[in-house]
Amino acid sequence: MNPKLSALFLITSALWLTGCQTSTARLNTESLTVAAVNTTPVETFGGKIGLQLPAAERSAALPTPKRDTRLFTLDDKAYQAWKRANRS
Amino acid sequence: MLRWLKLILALAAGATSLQALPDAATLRTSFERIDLDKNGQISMLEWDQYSFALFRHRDLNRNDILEPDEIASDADSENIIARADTNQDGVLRIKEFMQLRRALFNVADINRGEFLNLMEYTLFRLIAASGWDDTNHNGRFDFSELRASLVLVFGLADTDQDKELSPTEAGFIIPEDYARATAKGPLNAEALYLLYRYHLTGE
Repeated sequence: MNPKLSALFLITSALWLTGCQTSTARLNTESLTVAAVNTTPVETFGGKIGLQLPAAERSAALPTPKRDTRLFTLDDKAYQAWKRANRS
Repeated sequence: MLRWLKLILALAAGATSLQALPDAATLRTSFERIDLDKNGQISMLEWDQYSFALFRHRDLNRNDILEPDEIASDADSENIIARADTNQDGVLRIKEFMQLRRALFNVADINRGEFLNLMEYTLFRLIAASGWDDTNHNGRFDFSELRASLVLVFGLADTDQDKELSPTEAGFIIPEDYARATAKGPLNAEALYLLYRYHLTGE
């Protein structure tokens, strides 16, 4: 494939993905901040429902290899994007 | 004297219950704040955004980690947090927090519609405060479990323990639903279950 075409494709994809993430994060989240302030621990962590959830898989309890310490999970990335879009 | 003692005990029980169970207006307000696009449903995306807001609200020192002093709360929550802490490092990271929150969404999504309507959100809030026994250990509500949980909700709400809910005791139900549920008799535990079942299934 033509390198210029590949580069254009990559740039377009990156812009599209960034745009998607930004647009979802740009929902009016002011009401969420208000809701979060008024939320009890029972609602946040699930109370009696949370107690019934199966315990987390212990396979995930293994120490994180050093080479992976700088890797972000999808949740990390989404959270960072959300924070950027909701600076207070 | 005994009568006064009973009255005081009933009032004390009532105060506890009122604290435990949110009223219908509070539930609707909370629901509408999470329902960002105002389509009457909470999607997983909206739930995630709300969960981020919850995480950030609790993360007082803004280090993207919930530490014990930021998450210390009631015994139930501490138990849940300890299990959600998958790598057992004593703190809750965003990934662990989101896994917990998505699991809660899946439980609350009783009709498997991949979104929460007001009735499912209401049941989530009520049952989180009262109790649930996942008898078949599938991590989801079935209707027999829902019936058992609503007996617990009823027990919390029935502060005078007369086996029926007055309009005040049933403050978590909107007046129209209270009228519907009491059309054929008092609002007992079974009538409460039938009311929610009707809303979830149309039957």
